[in-house]
Parts: sequence; C-alpha cells; structure tokens
Amino acid sequence: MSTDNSRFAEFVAECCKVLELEAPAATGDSHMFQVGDRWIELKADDSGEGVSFAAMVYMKPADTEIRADLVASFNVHYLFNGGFSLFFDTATDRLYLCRPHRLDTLEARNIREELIAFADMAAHAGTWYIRSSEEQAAGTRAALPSGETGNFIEV
Amino acid sequence: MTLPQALVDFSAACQGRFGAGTAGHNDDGAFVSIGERVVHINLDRNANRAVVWTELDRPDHAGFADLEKAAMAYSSRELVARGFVVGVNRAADLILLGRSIEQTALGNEAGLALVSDVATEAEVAAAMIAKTAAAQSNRPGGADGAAVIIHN
Repeated sequence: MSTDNSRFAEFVAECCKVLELEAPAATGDSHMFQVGDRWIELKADDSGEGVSFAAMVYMKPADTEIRADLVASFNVHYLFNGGFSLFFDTATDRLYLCRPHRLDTLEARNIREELIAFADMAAHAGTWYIRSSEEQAAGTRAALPSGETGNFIEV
Repeated sequence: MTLPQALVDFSAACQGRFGAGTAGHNDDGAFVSIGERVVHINLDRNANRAVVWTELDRPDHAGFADLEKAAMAYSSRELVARGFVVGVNRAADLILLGRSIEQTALGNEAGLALVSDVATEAEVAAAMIAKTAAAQSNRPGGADGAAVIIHN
C-alpha cells in the first residue's frame, strides 16, 4: 500500500522554517529533531493523517528485564493524562516515550514548545522508570494503599 | 462547567453512524456500543485531548503479571505508530486498549472512524494478549499464578 506523506513532508518543512533549520531534501515518513542531547523522531502513520513523536528514555542493560508492570501501568495512567505511552523495542532493547497527534491539529509555529515539552517529559519518564525499577524489585511488590502501582511523575 | 458540547455532538453523531440507542454521555465521558463491545470516550482536559478506550478484560488478580508482559509484547512499533496503547490498571483489575486523540477530532467523521478502529483493534488485541499470557503462565518455571482464562 502506498502512503501519501505529502502533508507530513509539508509539516516538517514548516517546522524547519520555524526552527530556522535547513529543510530536508526528502522527508519520507520520518524526521529527527534534536533537543539538547535528546533526539525526537516525528513519524508519519500509514494513513498520512497522523504523526507520532518518539524519544528514547532508557536502554535496557543485558542482565536485566524490562518491568512490564511499570510500562503497563504507566501506559494506562498517561493514556488519560496527556496521551503519552511507553514502548519497548525488543530489537534494540530501548524504551521509548511516544505520543500520537493528528497532523491537522498541530501548528508548526508551536513546534519549538512542543519539542521542548516532549523532551522534558521523556527525561522525566526515564528518571521515573529507573527509580521505580530500582526501588521495587520485581515480584516483591505489594499494592500500595492508594491502589496505585507506582509513583507517577507529574505532567 | 457545562456539559461539554463536544461529547453531546459526538454521541449524537455516534447514534447516526452506529445506530439509535447505541451511544450516551455524561459530564465527563461518552460511550458507544459497537457490536458486543462498549467504547468509552473521556475528556483529558489538561491536555485538550480525549481518550477513546475499551476494556480488553477484567481478569483475576493472580494473572496480572502475565498479562502485563503480554500487553508489552503486543505493543509493537507499528501499533504505537498508529496511536494505540495497551495498558493495565491493577487497582481497577482492568486491561484496556485505547488511543489519545485531540479533542477537535471528536467533531468530525475522522473521530468516528477512530472510535470504530478501537473496537476493531480490540478484538484482535484481546485474543492475542490472552494467547500470549496463557502461554507464559503455562511455561515451566514461569508465573506463579493460575492459568489466565480470558472471556470475550
């Protein structure tokens, strides 16, 4: 199935203009922006109408397991609080923060603020994951009195 | 705050698309029955977004660890790129599939398509996650919980 990424390419070009960056010669379905030392990928979906932001938040060491309970509870909490989710890529052992948008609701002129806010959230999510996984060893954790399964970071 | 007009309009539009009596709404959410599945819409006011979600299951607590692993394994890059999330809420004994969209998308045909997609994707997800979780719980030396029985 061919995908029409022309709206995505147009959006990326507008963002580059706002950010005073050189527009890419060819966009394809993905473009990376750098915020500080963090890379944020904008990736078009198959419909050509959606775009997801993604940033790496954690790299799994070889001798540990990713805590599925933390990822699953983060995902339900932040689905309802901002639309963020964590995704573990088994091919690269990396944990990513993602957030989907519809292209027709994004404003290129706000891209700087969007990218900075997303990079901040990725930094917080990484810190939260590392702390939570260190504080609560898998299999030994009882439910907290509040019923929450972790100490969620604030959006 | 008055009843959000977006939810009123949305549930009315759902009645037109999915049939009379299938949809309803209250102060902070709307719902629509699509086939045997109920899809919920909740407003996420802080971020000007809306959450479209449906229950995959309300399993026994003992099976949660396997379900969480299965949910994470099911969350492929492709699924995430399409905006879908599988999450587990142990406090509510609930595993769900959902997507967060901008509230403005609720007011058009695209919004209805996004809701319909959640119902369709949930059928696939529920079956796959149940299968993976059951395989994990039956693995020698694996989970300590009883086998997970999923009803759909």
